Amino acid sequence: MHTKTKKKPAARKHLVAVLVAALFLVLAEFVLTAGLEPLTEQMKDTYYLSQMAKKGQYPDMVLLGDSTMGGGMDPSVLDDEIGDVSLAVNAATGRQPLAGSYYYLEDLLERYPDIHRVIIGLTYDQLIHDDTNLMSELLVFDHIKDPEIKLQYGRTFLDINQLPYLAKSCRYRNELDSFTDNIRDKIDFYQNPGETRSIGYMPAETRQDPDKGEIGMGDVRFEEKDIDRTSLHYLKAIFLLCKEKNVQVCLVTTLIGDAEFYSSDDVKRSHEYLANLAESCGVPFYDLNLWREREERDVGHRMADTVHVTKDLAEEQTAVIGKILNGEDPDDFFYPDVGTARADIHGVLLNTVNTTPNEDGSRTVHAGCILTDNMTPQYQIAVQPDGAEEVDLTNGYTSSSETVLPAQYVGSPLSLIVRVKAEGQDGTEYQRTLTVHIDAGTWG
Amino acid sequence: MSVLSIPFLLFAAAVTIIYYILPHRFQWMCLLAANLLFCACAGIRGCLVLLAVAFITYLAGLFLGREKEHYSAEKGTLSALSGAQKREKKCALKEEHGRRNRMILAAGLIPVIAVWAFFKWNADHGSIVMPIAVSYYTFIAVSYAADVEAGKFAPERNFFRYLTFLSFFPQMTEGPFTRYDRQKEELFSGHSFSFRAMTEGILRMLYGYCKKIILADSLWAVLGALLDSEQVSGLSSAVLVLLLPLQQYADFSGCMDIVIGFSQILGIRLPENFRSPIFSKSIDEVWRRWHVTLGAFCKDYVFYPVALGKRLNETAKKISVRHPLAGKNLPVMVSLFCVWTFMGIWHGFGAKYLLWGWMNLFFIALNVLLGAQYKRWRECLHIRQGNRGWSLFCMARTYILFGIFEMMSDGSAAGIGARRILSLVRPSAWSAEPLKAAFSSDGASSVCWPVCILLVILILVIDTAKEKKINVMDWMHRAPLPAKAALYVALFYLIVLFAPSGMNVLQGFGYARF
Repeated sequence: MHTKTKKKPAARKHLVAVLVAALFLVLAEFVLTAGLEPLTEQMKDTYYLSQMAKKGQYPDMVLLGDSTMGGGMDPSVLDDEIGDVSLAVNAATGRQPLAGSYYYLEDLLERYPDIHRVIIGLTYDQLIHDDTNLMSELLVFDHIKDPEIKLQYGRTFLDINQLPYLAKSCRYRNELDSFTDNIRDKIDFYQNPGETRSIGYMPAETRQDPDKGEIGMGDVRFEEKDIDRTSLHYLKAIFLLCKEKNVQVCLVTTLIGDAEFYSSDDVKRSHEYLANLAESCGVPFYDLNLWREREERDVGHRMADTVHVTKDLAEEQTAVIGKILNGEDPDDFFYPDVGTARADIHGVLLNTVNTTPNEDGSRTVHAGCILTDNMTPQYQIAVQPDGAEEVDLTNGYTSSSETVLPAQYVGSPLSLIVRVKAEGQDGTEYQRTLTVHIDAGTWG
Repeated sequence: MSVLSIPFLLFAAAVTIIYYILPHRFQWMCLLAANLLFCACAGIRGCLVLLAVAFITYLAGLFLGREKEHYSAEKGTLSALSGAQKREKKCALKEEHGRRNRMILAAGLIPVIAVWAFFKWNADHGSIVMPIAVSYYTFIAVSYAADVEAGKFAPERNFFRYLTFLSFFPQMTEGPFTRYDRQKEELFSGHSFSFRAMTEGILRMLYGYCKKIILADSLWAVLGALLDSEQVSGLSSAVLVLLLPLQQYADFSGCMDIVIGFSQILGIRLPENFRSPIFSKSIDEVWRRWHVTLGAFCKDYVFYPVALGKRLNETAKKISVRHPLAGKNLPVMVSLFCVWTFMGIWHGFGAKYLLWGWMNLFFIALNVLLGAQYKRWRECLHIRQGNRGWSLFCMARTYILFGIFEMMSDGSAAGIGARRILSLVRPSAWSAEPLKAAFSSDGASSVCWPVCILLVILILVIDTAKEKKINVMDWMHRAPLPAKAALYVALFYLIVLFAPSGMNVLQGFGYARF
């Protein structure tokens, strides 16, 4: 009896110590996550949805997919196109795996029973490339709220050694420099939410390596034999889930650059495969690359990079989907096949440039381009050192795609300018200019 | 199951719970089960090798014990005799006993060492993967048999208890080398749960994880790239010399902190393997402070048996008639040669390891032979013993020498190591390119260097406190609860946020490959 009363305070003391440590752990995780995680578009969207929920309006449409959907579909445009009763939520995340899309959708359908439309974004090679990584899987994991679904999804991708990454702060470990900025941004946002519905867009790359920095194409690759069975399984599971829940679902491929669309045979194979797959599953498939207004809207010059669209273009392609969902005929918007869509593309689709070093310190500049209609290109290559006038290295347009960049320019910051022109069979002249800025450090 | 993995932590937690639930007399059985499971996870082949080594040395111990009993019994029968006959019989009996003892020991140790050598040779030549911790438990078993032969303690009669000692799973990564007589009490006496032991053990483990995952792996991101690079430059060699000892210290002592910390949670004390080696003033002192248990093994089982050998001492005596200095130093020099050849071979069957061992031997022998001369020179220069400036100079000199040795043994071949050393003295070879490439490698770009510097300062502070005999754990124990909690959380987040590998797989331990 005596021993018992002596032991009790010690046990209580130890329990207090453990609880204090646990409290510190929770507090540290909260503070670190608040500081390391930047303010994201989805946070803004979540806030907007909570505001709408206060007004009694809940999402009835959800968009899932990777960054091409995240930055390529504007939910507010869908709201406007479909009418006041519609509220769309863009739940796409960077490199979202199809397994993640499935579990995320399951969670969203649980949370928002009003959802009756789902748009699944799928790139041409998403069923081939396993582009996902732990970070992208964790990003989806964070968004799932239902504990049971969260656990199920966690079990599909999380290795036991990756358990520490469930501490959310460690996902943003590279954001240490912006700790205070992140907190300030969040405080500012919640104090003054302002325009809450916005989508981001990918800025075009500005810096290229002179040796390797050819502005190349996004490598669209598609072979039916290479299809990842797990991804296909989850895509079909999404269709099945929507069918069970009586939710309309459609498959969308967003715009890619003209050069990639025009020159890759894999694009054609992938389009046909996806169209057949969608048909066999009874799901509509809208490939925005077959858009009849593609040439008219100057898509080739308005891409942010090879696969991501700019904000304006995102609004325009979202409007197309909105109109179709509103009951308009898809055939009015899209060509029937890739071949016909390609036939409507004309001009210089892409300029490329790279340089190779010469023994005397100068560099040879190699230009290239992708043209339609078997046109013959003419090149003009120029250099413009920072803060100085442009110097023409080829003395006007020439058929040669190579020239020498004198040693005096090598090593200093400058812009390389490649202009390509070509004349179509009907006499139309097409032109395209590429300007690549090279930092002093890039020369190595 | 690496001690750096989450499964290990879960395994360790489960073992701890079961261990403390069980009555004291059954606790060692829990350890045995955990040891076997841990080994089985690393591969059944390794498990079989461990069992074979344990069984052979266990039998050797039993036979040696029986031989001792036999000898005592026979010695008892001599009491009936007297005078010269008794002395003669006793001498003959002793000689016979010694001969039989040596035979049993050889029969026990030769197959065990042969097994180790087989795996070591083949692993070094890339043909097989070495069984887990074979270089550690083989020589722990050797020390057990040698100690039984020397009559230091009676052999263990229970094979399973002996197996528990030999296969204690926390030491199955990088040691330390333990001795049966010292560990017997720790392993088999039974322990009650202590909250203080647990918190101190966890703190030590966290400190070890920080050292390994943040500092050692961060430095390795650069040093590994430099060692892999075929380009040799003076600058990169200088960086290797300066940072390799620090990286290896963080790596190896980090593992020891994890292992000793976890054993502490179970109430089992393991011997310390490091005594602030940064404060070493000579190479021989390094080996009394770095990998202490290996040094002690070499001293007890290689140095003394050779130095006290009958034939060597007789030869030394003969030589000392004409050359007193040579005769006096011969046993020490021969013993040191054996020790450092063994040390080289223990690290690997390659020219670079032998060269590494002999480089150490050269400087240690120099210290032994010229020790008196050094003292006279110091006195001439009016440098007092304990002079701070002189001590710092000696520490820096030793650190650099040690760095050069490590650079020699860490390269892909002895030739590259030699080229690296030569590049240090060739100004034309001081190109910054390999260093630039190493710092811009994928691994190095994710390293947070300010945190590494902070950790180096922390290690220096803790090592200085240890050197001044300040008990850091006692000091921590007296700190207020919120401060302690904050420290635990801070160490945890240091690991989570600043591991250079980010979301990739962590590096293994450097010394585990030996």
